[in-house]
Amino acid sequence: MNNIIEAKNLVKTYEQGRVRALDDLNLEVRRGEFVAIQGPSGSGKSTLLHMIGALDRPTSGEIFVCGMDLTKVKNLDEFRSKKIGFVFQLHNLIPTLTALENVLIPMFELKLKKKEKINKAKELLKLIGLEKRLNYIPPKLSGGERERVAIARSLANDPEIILADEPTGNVDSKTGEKIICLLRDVNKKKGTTLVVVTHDSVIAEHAPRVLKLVDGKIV
Amino acid sequence: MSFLTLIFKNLFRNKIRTLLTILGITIGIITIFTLSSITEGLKKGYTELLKAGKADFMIGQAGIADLMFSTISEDKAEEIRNIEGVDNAVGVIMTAVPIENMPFFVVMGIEKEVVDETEISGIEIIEGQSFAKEAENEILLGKISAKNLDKHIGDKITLAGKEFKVTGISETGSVWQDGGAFLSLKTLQAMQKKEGKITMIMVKKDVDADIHELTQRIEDTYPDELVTIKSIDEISKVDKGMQAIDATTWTISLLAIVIGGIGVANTMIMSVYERTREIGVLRAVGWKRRRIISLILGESFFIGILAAAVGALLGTGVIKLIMLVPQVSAFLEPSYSINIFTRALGVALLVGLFGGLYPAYRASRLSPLEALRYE
Ligand SMILES: Nc1ncnc2c1ncn2[C@@H]1O[C@H](COP(=O)(O)OP(=O)(O)OP(=O)(O)O)[C@@H](O)[C@H]1O
Ligand SMILES: [Mg+2]
Repeated sequence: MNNIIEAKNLVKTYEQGRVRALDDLNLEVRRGEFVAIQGPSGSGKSTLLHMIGALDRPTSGEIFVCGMDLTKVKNLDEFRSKKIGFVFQLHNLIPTLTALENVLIPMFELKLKKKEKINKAKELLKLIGLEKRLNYIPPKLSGGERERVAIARSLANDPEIILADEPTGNVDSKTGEKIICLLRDVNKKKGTTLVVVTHDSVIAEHAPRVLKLVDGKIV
Repeated sequence: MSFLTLIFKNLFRNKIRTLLTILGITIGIITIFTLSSITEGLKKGYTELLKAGKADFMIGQAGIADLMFSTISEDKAEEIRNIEGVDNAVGVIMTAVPIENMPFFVVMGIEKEVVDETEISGIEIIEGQSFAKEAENEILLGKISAKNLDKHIGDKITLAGKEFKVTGISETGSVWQDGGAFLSLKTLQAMQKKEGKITMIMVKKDVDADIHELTQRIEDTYPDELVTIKSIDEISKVDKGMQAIDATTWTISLLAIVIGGIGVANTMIMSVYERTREIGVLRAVGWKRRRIISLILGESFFIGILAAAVGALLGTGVIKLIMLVPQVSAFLEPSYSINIFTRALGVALLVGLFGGLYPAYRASRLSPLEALRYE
């Protein structure tokens, strides 16, 4: 199977079926692809990312990620910890931990030596150009820097897929472009599959493939 | 960064709240610590008394609340001496009288021959000599009291309104005896208006007699009349007060666990609530439920450990303060056995566990998605 993500007739409803956040959605993403998902507010973009990232289960339909049937996987925590890296709209870093420590957080579930973990976290922060900010706590970082730390954190567990929900939502357009270029570099260098949700067309243009989501369907 | 560092950092996010929670537990711990070390001190006093001489066991009156109230007829000592398996048995009278500015001064009435000729009492005269036989106004002073009262051989001392001359200084190794004094048995009996009565009998058994069999036989011979005390574990037979303190300590321990636990639970629930989003992130990056539970329980456990440390430290201070009162220090030597520290730590850890369970459960039940949505 070449598709790392495959969704068939995916439905997710809320409020006892009154809200259809995802409505018979079909999606295929190939391994190593960089896909942007665009769509108006409330169209179901975040919901779709949550389904792919195994943060929630669909109401009906099928979803396969990394060859696994997510409607059947018992331990979603373990699946996430092994396969997925998340970048959220609000960076969601732990405010009392340094940049380095924040990147170390997902590594608790990995079987690596302490030294190896630290080296790896340092490397990731270097990759995103924050090697001089290792010991800064988030309140002392700029919005763009925080978002970059969040990207480094999403890479900490060597995920097969990075799911980014509005990673540029909180920064100015110039910083936004820097961030998206950074994500694109990661995609190129590491071959990590990248799904980025954005409502910003300028940002979306950086992706080779852009999908439009309207009312829970890809159009 | 280790898991422990993370726990530690989380605890110090809201320093004041953590500190107040620790203080809440600490008060319970101090009480437990102080009471325990006092009971242990009392037990130590009894142990020293039991071990001071060469006696194998003691006999007191059955069914009394405190050894000081024990009253046995003098003839009993003679009867016991004639029991098979008994080498020697001597009766002594023991009481506490006020002296100078101290309300509690242990005085033991004992026959001169027992002091001078047998080892059963364990009295060693380190200076001067014993009181004369049936002397009405001579006293053998314990070495601690001699020092505390600054009395020397030949000095006068007033005991319960009666004047005595110090003839010697003694040592037995028991704080109560060394912090007290010895008089002639007859003299103390007369002073207490207890002619022909004694407080207890010190018994030395024959070398080949079985102590369990012997003490059992004595208790069977004098049911509801006499009890034998072989070791410190049997002291409750003649000291119900210590049992009462013990019971109080346990009750307070339990209360401390409940109250402290509620405090910890409150703190941890607040802290989990404030970190809802963060817990969602941790779950999103793959943390298992079990790790979330460990984190929260770890934090509440740590609060317990800190409280135990602070409690033990302050408890030692409180005891030091109590010991500044000379009336107390005369008969009580607090004991800081490893037991007491273990108990304080045990209670504190239980408080941490008890208080952390529900918050940890709550945190682990948070759905990562809802937690992430939480504003
Ligand atoms: N937990 C929920 N309970 C009820 N309705 C929900 C829930 N989560 C999402 N929805 C609804 O599902 C629809 C899709 O939501 P979603 O968050 O996926 O939109 P979105 O495309 O990410 O929007 P935005 O660009 O504003 O983030 C919305 O109408 C929303 O109200
Ligand atoms: Mg959204």
